[in-house]
Amino acid sequence: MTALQQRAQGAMLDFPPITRSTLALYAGASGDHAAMHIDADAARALGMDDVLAHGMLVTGYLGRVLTEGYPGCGVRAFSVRYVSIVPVGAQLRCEAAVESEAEEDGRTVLRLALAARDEAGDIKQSGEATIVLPAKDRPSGKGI
Amino acid sequence: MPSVAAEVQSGELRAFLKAIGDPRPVEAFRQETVPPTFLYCLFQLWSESPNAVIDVVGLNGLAVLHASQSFEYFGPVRLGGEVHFTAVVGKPYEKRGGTRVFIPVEVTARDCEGRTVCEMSQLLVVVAS
Repeated sequence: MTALQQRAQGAMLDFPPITRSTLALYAGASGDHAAMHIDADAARALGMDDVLAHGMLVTGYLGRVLTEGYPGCGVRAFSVRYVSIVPVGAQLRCEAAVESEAEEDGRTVLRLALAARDEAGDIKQSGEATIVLPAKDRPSGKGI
Repeated sequence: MPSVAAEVQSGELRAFLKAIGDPRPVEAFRQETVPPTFLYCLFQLWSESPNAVIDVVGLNGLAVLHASQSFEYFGPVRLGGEVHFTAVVGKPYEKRGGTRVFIPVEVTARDCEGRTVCEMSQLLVVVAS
């Protein structure tokens, strides 16, 4: 295998459209009961058109790109900026791109650029993460 | 804000996994550390009132959004683990001629031996309607 082939790859997950049920489930599961996420009347009273997704739901989706794109990795740091609101019906694609790769005590440390985009390609959240890949399986060498 | 003591329980963790669509079975977290954003939810779930930070700042009835959120992890948190949270609300500041007020909040998570396992920083934004 060439060095190029050994380089870590980016990762991507597509999510189903966000529904009101998605938000109700997340409200209960996260403890974020803010009415603007689950009650359209309350959202309108705050001057919004409708309920909007919890930012931390989308951050949770980005977290899945780390844990599913790099199984067994350790997350050292993870940060996101909330670029614009996510309405009901949004269909998100969450991506990680490898910014840099380093070796540390025999483990690979990746710095990743993260983005959550909607179906039109507009960025909803952007961020960074630093993860440590699990120790590589050592080749057995001599094959019995 | 008083500190919040919490325990990672399987029912709450299972509900969180379902809510974000994480396919891992809850029992996997006896070995693996909990999903990266779960600690913030754990803090909210075990706080005396939901939206604990918003209550402390006195923002009920206003639209409060997240502007940014970051996590730095120093140790694992697993199913059955105890976590102690302390939160510090920073000094608010204005932008855009006072139509946006930003409030920084720092939440520290420690294990039962007092070791910091995670530092969470968030910036809330209050939008004037």
